[in-house]
Amino acid sequence: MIFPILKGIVSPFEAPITFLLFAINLMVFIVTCDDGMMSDNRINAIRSESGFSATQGAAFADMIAREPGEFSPILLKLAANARQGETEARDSLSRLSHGNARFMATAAGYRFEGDEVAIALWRERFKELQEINDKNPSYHWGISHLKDGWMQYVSYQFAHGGFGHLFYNMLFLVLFGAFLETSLGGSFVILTYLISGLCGAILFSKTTGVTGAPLVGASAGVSGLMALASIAWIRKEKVHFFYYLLPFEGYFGIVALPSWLLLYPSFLGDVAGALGSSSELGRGVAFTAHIGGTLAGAAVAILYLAGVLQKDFDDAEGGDGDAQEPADEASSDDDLRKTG
Amino acid sequence: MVLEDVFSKSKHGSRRRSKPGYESGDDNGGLDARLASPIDRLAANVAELALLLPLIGLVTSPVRLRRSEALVLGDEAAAQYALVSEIGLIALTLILYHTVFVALYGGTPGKLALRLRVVSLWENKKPRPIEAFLRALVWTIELACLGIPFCAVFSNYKRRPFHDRIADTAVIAIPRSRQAGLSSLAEMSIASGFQSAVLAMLTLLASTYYADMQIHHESTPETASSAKADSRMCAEVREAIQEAPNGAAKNSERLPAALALFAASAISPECLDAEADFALWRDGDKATAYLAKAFAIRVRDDERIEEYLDKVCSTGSPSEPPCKAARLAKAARAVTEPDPIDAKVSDASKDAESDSIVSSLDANAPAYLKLAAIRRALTEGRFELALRWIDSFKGPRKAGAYVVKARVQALWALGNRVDARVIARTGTDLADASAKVELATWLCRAESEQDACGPFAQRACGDVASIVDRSESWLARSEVVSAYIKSQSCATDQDPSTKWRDLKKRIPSERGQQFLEALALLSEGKSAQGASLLERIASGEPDAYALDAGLSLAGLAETAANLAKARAIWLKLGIEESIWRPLGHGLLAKALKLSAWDEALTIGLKLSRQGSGDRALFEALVIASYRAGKRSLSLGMLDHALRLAPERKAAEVSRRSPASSAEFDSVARALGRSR
Repeated sequence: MIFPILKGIVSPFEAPITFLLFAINLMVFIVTCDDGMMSDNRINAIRSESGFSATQGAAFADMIAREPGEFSPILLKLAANARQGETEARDSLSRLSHGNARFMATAAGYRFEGDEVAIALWRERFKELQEINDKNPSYHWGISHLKDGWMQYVSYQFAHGGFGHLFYNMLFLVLFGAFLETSLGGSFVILTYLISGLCGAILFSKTTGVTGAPLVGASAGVSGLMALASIAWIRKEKVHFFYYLLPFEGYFGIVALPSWLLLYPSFLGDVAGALGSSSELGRGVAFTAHIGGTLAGAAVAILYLAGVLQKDFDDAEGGDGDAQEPADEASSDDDLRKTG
Repeated sequence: MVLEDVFSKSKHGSRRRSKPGYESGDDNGGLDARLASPIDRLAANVAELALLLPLIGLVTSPVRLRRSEALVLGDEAAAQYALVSEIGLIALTLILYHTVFVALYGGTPGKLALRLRVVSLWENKKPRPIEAFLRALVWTIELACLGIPFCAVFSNYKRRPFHDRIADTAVIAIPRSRQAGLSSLAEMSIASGFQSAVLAMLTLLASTYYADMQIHHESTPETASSAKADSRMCAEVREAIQEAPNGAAKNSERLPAALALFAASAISPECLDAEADFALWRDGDKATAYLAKAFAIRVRDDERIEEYLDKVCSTGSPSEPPCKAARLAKAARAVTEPDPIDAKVSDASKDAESDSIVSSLDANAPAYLKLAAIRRALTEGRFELALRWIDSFKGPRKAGAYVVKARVQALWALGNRVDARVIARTGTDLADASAKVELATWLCRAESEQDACGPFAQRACGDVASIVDRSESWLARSEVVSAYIKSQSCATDQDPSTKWRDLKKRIPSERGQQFLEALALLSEGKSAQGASLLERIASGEPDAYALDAGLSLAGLAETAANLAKARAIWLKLGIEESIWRPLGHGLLAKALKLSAWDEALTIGLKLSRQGSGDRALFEALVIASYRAGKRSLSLGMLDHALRLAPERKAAEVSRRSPASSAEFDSVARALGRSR
């Protein structure tokens, strides 16, 4: 395992903007956590009712069959199979329908031709589901078929789907944000974070389209910060990584490596994820949003390297943020050696 | 240890011209002394993952998408093809990665970072491209073998696994402190032993798995194929359509065929539900589809049944078969009234409607409607009518098994036992082994109720014993075991308790074993223990063991209190199901015999609410209510009994209390009526 540590976790006083962003994210999570959990529990309970699930799948298949031009080939095939009586196809469609913006937006008033008794019951449950979604914080803060205004393009970056989601995003936000803020200044951090988030959401909407499930998370902004750190430091000296190869002494420690390694796994992973999955098939991660954020961060980095954007402060003050040119490899090894 | 930054450019020029470790004048000793430590080699491969995993993810991404699409579409062949392609791409990536880096730089980035180098054995420099390629290819194959061949870094004297040997290479360490030298004897011994042990274990696992597969394939019992719907609806329905006279499989014929098969208990509710959904969502016959839904969800959701039945007639024409069937079904959903007399009055109006529907059916009525008419006629004891419908029945072959059984039951109830026996024993129309067994067990039970040790019972139950002797897997079914026990009950060649305990060893189910143990205890005179075990069996899962246990308890009951216990078990089993009626009638007969009038009244009233009350039952209720001091109830029952047509006898009511005939006349006179 190789993990970037950069400057580690610095004091909030050294990186106030970073910690302000962290605090906003944390506050939003705390405030919305309870409502989110209750909504999620009730939504899961409704979705798992077999009658509701089966009817929703059949209804989605019916809609796809009537409007074939509005859906992708995979959904058309799935609908054809479901209408031939394949219960697995129907159940798959039921699961996928929740993420389909067109279905979620229009199903309530759609005239389905099928089991009218089951449809009547389904409509009651579906209405309840939509009422819950209206009150679900993720739908309020995130981008979805219910809300996709400009406000949501900013607010979605501060909402998260769960504690794990929040934890990993904030970990990287604090690592990269503090590193950048102590080197380039707080304005770089907040500018990059917000622009990357915006670009990520735009790229997501253009490529994937607005989905039935809301887009939330700081990942696009954090990807932008990673791209900025990675590219802006490409001509500078190395950045610090923690490595752990084997649980023996001498096989873990800290090493200085080129900055492009910061971006290599995450960007390649996002591209692989975007190419290797489909939001229509229930992909849970918005890889295109990450890519959008990365591209925005890369643009900021290029502008910085070109001198168009200047640091908040001059070189005399920003010393700590830049690793020194090593006089020789041996001494840099001594400086960096932590274990082994 | 600190990783070397392999990406830093030398201040003196291109990295490619520098060959650390290959320089002449390197006086680190011979190659053998410079061999890299296996741990370093492992650490290098771990370090490689940081570069390899994202690359592999990118390379295989299109194939992964195809695989997930194939999985969603249920196309297993395409999914497997995609998986194989994915594995192939991973292998290709690994081979290219290793080949390029080893050929260009003398080591992969992970090795370079740990200051290891791959050297050609004879030339002490980086391998040629062909050598690098061979090395990479074999390395990938070794990885596919779970990495076990890599243990050769310990077991081979020069720490050269097969991929090094085939390419004539070795891996050395540049820093002297990291050089491990040749393998020691201990290393070689332990590693060789480990490799052999792993190989032996894998061989054992593979052969065990293969043997299990063979055993499983050979021992699959010839049990009834449950009507399992495949994901594209039911195979049974498809077969029925293909067998149809017109020969063409039409979607419009699916639903009526499915309903007929369901009425004959040849398919499951889930199968019928799938057929109904197919018709409803594909603009099929909606009225028939709603009827099918009403039956399919019968066991699951009582509330929606009425909604579906209402939809049948509102969607279709009242004179069409689906609406008639819906009205029949509604009539059959009898409401339980506390006062049985009122219940009988309301039943009478429902009966009239049902009668008019059934009598309006003609030869062209769909098979499912005829089967419903047959079932109703049997339930109400109208056996001649049932036979008329049976004679005119034309429908799916698998429904024919039910029709044959219905014919046997009707003939039996009408007293034509000779024909009933012949049909039951030959069962020529039954192609399904399970249906044949079902009929054989029914006949065994019916004969035993007449005369348990008589020649006919012995022959009928002996047929079941023959089936079991051909394949003991049938002993997994409780009704078969029940019939088998009856076939053995009358044999006196063996001590009963020994006989039951010997049979117990052949029964796979725990409940069956417990029942046989109870019989053994009863035959040893341990009535209390036997009765306790019987109560436990009767209170458990509702199967043939529960029925037989209940009947045994009824037979053992000497007092009204004991009988009440047995009655409680009967109620818990669920009196709505017709299979428990023999127990109910057994309890009633015992109650009358013990003169437990209140108990007899309670049991008889519950039996009558099942809608199949015959004259014998109501005559017994007349006696019981009169003797219990309920004169007005007795009078109401008497009037109802006298109104009932004489031929309405239920098959399961086989015997009256010996005194009831004369006693009934006496009670009737006391109440001011005559037969």
